[in-house]
Amino acid sequence: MPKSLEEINERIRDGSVHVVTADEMTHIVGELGLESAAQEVDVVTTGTFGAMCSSGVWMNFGHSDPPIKLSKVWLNDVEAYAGVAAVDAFIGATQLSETRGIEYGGAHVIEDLVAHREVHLKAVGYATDCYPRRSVETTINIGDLNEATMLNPRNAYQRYNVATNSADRVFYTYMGTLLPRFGNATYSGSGTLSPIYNDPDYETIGVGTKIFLCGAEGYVVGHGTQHDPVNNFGTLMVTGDLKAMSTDYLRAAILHKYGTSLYVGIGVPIPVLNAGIARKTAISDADIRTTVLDYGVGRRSRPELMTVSYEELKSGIIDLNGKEVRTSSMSSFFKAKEIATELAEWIRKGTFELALPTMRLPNQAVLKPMKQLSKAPLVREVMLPSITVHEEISIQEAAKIIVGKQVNHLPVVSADKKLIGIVTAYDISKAVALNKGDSLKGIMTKRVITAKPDEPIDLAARRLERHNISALPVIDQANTVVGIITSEDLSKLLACR
Amino acid sequence: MKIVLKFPQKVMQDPLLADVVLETGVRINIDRALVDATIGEIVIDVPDERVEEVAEAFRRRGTEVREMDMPVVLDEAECVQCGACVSVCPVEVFTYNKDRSISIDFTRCVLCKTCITMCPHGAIKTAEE
Repeated sequence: MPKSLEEINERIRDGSVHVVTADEMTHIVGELGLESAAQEVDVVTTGTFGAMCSSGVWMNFGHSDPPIKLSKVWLNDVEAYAGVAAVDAFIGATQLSETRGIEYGGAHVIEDLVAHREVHLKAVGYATDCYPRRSVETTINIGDLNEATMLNPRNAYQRYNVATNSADRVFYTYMGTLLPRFGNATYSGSGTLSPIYNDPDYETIGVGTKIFLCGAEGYVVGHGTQHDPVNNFGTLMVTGDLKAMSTDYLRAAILHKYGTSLYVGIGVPIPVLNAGIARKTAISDADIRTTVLDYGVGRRSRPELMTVSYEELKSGIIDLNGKEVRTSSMSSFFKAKEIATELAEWIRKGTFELALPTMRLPNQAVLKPMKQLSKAPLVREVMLPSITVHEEISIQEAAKIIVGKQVNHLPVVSADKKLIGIVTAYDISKAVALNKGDSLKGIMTKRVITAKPDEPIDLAARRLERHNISALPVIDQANTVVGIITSEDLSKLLACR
Repeated sequence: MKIVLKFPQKVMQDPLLADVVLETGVRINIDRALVDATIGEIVIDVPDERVEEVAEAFRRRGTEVREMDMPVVLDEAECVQCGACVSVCPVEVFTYNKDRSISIDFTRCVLCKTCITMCPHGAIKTAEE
């Protein structure tokens, strides 16, 4: 027997409503069967608590006297976007402080506001007849704002990819620290509690759906940016009143060597209107699969290594082609469950009724990559032919080649043309100055940092920067030198972009 | 138990660890070692019941010995129980409980400090901070 939303709201009002969390629902359906579970349970609550970079707050500061039209505004030295009406601005979670950098960002300003801490405001404007003032500096707290409305363009990802790293060095990413040679794997998302996975056809989650947002009542505005329902990467755009939110469910975060982000807590109630919805809310961690990607490759299409379920991820270890890799969650399942439980409590107490969407969310949208007018150049397109030398030549011979060919770097190759080292003009000068050795073999650098012909030059440039060196021999799969790429050539090229 | 050994410059050349192991016969585990121009500092793990004996053997050889304090601490107000720390710790200080909250056993810590930067919430700090 299907139920109407009005019947469920009536039960919320008379206190007879039966609410369970989504992980409990998995067991209830298992025990009672679909029909009885659908009859028995009125509402299933979901929850998620994780880093959601696409988050921010619209603020209205009120007018100063004399009034100013803000053209730029900073809160605790973090710039907020002010390209709207005179004293409105949007502060985004990942905008960094201009004085403290990665240690403090928009997310921290938002947390400070919610915690009722004072925030320093500095603004400049251009004077007009109606807004004659050019600058203002003051201190505000959340109570001084006319409005503080959270509006997050992309939250509550249905699921997320798992990150690991094949490279020989540590990678610092928005998925946390990834240890070398598949040293660990990190994931995000609340699995069985995932709001969208419990309503994957968007039957009850839509425009206007009432939700739990960081401890306050919030709403779904529509689908989030990068919404990709076809591939089970749906997202939500959500809004709520920051003044009613709590730091229990909203936290600023710093991802080491990456930037700042905001941990946002979202709970979405799913009304169990029929057995079909009951079936979908019975989804378990074992049913939800996601892909392990190699973040050690800096391209848009990161290599897909395997697929795993959230159940496997939560076991703490995944088997990655024979290697046991330890896993960490970047989002908090513990807090997600707390949110689903808290929302269930609101509904039981009768303080939170459900609303049907006023419009359905798209379930067919296709996600496009960025349209780029020019392709990022590849190393092969900009590399120069390299002059290579044999390891047995003398230092004097090498010096002659450096001067004669006007180069600074000489890749050293073995008899079968494989790269075995590199010497620079500096290495040669040093050897001469210290009167050290006579063949290159003794003075060359053996651990050579290289580039591959089919890499975009941006990756090569980042490598030069990281190792503080000025050239990379380009090698093919057989370790044969096919060219060289130098920082000098790269800077000329990048200057033209 | 973990103890910290501080070697003054004058004994740095001597194979002290080897001497102490041979003398006491205690199987010592080296957790961390730092040696630079002015000082050598080594953190070793010793079975609880032999700590006194081992400490005494080092002291006799001119080494400063102290018990390692809680090397890192957790700021519970900042921790959101995500578990980002779990997979980067080489000695499994952090583990998930059944309810997905985090259990912490800092006595295993070897102070590699990877968790400190990994934690998105700055909830793990060295004891000095």
